[in-house]
Amino acid sequence: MGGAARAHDVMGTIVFADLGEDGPRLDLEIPIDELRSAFDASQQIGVAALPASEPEVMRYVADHTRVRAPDGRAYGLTPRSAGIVLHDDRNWLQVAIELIPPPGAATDELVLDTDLIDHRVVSHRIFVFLRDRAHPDAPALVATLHYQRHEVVLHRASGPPPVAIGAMVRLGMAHIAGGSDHLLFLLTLLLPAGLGIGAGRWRGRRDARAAVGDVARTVTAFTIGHSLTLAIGALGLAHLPSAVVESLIAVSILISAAHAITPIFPRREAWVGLGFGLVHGLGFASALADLGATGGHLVWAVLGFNLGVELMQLAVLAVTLPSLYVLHGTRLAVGARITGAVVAAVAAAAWLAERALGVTTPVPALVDRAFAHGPWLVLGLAALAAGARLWNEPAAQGSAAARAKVAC
Amino acid sequence: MTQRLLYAIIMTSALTGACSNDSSTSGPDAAVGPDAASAPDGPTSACASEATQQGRVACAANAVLASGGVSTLALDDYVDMSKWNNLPVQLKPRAGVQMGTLSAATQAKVLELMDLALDGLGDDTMTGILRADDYLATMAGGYGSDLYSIAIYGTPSATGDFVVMFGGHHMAYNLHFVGGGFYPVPQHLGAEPKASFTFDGGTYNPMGPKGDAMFAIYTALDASQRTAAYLSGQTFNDVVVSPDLDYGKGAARTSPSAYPTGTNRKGVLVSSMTPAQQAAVVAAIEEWVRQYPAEVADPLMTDYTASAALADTYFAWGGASSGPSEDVSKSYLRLDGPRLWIELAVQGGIVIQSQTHYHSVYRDKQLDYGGAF
Repeated sequence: MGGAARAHDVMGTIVFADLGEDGPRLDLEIPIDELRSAFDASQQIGVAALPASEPEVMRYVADHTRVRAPDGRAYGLTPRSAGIVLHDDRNWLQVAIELIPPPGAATDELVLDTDLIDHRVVSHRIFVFLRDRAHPDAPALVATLHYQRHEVVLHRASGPPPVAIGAMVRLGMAHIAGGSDHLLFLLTLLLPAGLGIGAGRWRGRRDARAAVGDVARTVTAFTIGHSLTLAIGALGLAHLPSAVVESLIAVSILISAAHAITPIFPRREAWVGLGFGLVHGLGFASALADLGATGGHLVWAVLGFNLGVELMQLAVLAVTLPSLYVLHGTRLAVGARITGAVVAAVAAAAWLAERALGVTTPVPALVDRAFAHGPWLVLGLAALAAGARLWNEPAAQGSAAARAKVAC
Repeated sequence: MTQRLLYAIIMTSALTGACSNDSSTSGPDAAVGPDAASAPDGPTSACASEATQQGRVACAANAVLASGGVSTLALDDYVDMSKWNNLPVQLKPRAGVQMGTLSAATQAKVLELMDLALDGLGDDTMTGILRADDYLATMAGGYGSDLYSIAIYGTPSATGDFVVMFGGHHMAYNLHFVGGGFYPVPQHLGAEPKASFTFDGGTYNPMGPKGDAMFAIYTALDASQRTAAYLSGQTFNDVVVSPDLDYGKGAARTSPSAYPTGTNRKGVLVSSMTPAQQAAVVAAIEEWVRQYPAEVADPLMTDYTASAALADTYFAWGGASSGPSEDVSKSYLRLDGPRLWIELAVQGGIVIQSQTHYHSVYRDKQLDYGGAF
């Protein structure tokens, strides 16, 4: 609509050429007063009563519009009237033309050759716009045809403009920022990252290097998992009912919460991340499917969306994991971990109840409201970690000796 | 309806204040409006004493810039520079700033600038077109002299390159000072109403003399010449090398491709005409070129009317085969030379539907935009 309005500040015939998934096709908007000038002058037909003489007009359009492949072979075309619209106090006849390529012709390049109206009305102009379903509001003017210029070569644009990828990246980031379940899963899964294990229980803190390794492996595995199913789902190769996918996502949080309380899959976090990544990817795919992108655009959309998901995840982990790691080294470690896991478990249980059983609780709304204050949660966590560390040195090994020194 | 009326009243009253400083035109046939008498001297006089036409226009352009509200644009902004048109400005916004947004002092400076750039004939034409739009504004919305725009490109000086554009509905004065030359092209002029009209106590007829001069060529031809000059098989709903092609496209403009070539270039050669007929052609060319002082117009007239040029200059007309008429829309007359290009098209009325109105374009095939792009 916006594109059409912009195109209409020109006063000639407007040709929208689609060479994309909807194409190849042409949509014409012809000012009827100009059309009448061409008709009346050549005295072919009286068009006093358009669209009464529609068949004649369509024949006229077909006679004056030729499309051919780069090798010179002609396309078949059948114009049909799509009605009359009023723009800028003028009546425009809309004509839709489906183009039938000659056998085997590549459709990403074609030659439009038209002398519609301007074969007679030399002041007439034909403005040719290349249109892309992915950007309906921004048809690009590629040629102005007139009585001495009848041809234009049309190329299908290769790949969508960078703007679209940027938009997909932002969409991916927004999906993570707004979808508390994905974040909660990842945070819960990483809650015990960097902890040691002894006698089947979480015990002590490993060094920072080992902790970073834990996190890197788990996040990478999660990414591989959700990228895989995002691509598969977006390409329409696999489909699971979204209620099932959403319920499985809730289950993934429950299991991670249990694991955070007591290790049920010690040193296997990466595999679990991979497995549940596959589930979460299907959730991303359904978010993408709502956009209706197809074909080549979809590949870019998936890449951009995935990149956005990744960026947002890394940003969140970068501001939370250091605080968690510090907390692990204090006396609050166990309490904080158990509290976090229980909160996650309650939220997951509520989601599961809602998604699998249709039982609504106030919990999901509370979780969303809490996540809306994400920066404060992050700051609170950091303050808690810093406070716990100041108040409570002894968990660190050298501190007893240090205190002894002071006592002397 | 009430809204339109209100708008018209506001536009009209704004105008009396806004445009009271034009004129000081030379010659007995200067604008006869009530505003004509009140031109202030001062900066105008100061600039008028500059030695060259470029110096005078540069001086006046700098006075506009100094007055505030107008800032200079990049001299290589060809896309913006190609934003001129015949259409009402709400359909095609013009380059630069609209008069209505400027202070009364700056508006006066702008009109002084145009007054210095144009000679008496040009002043009459410009003033008449502005008044015609004010006249339309009393009947319909979206018109009025407040909506005309001024744009200045580069740093105006007596020797350097710069460009001044002043235009709006039915008007595009594009003044290009390039390499020491003054090229007033491309230029679009038109007016509705076509016929003489009175507005606010003045009587105006900006396009009438131009139309008469073009029709006088046709009238001077004999029957066989008229037949030879007829553009059969072609319909002209407007000028052919129209502003639309230039609008906002800069260097990528496609106008040159619309000048007729090959068998499309036809009509009666001026060199084959009788002296009296040739005089009619020269008189018609003067209607466009002599809008500028002799310093600018003389060399252009010499170029356009040299015998070699006239040997390649065609007069042609279009419309009903019975002959063109100023009262019949789609009537069309043009002069097509090696450089000169003048078209006059008769269109149906838009606001005043009981009469026709003129569109015209004056171009130089080599020196449009000073030959710069």
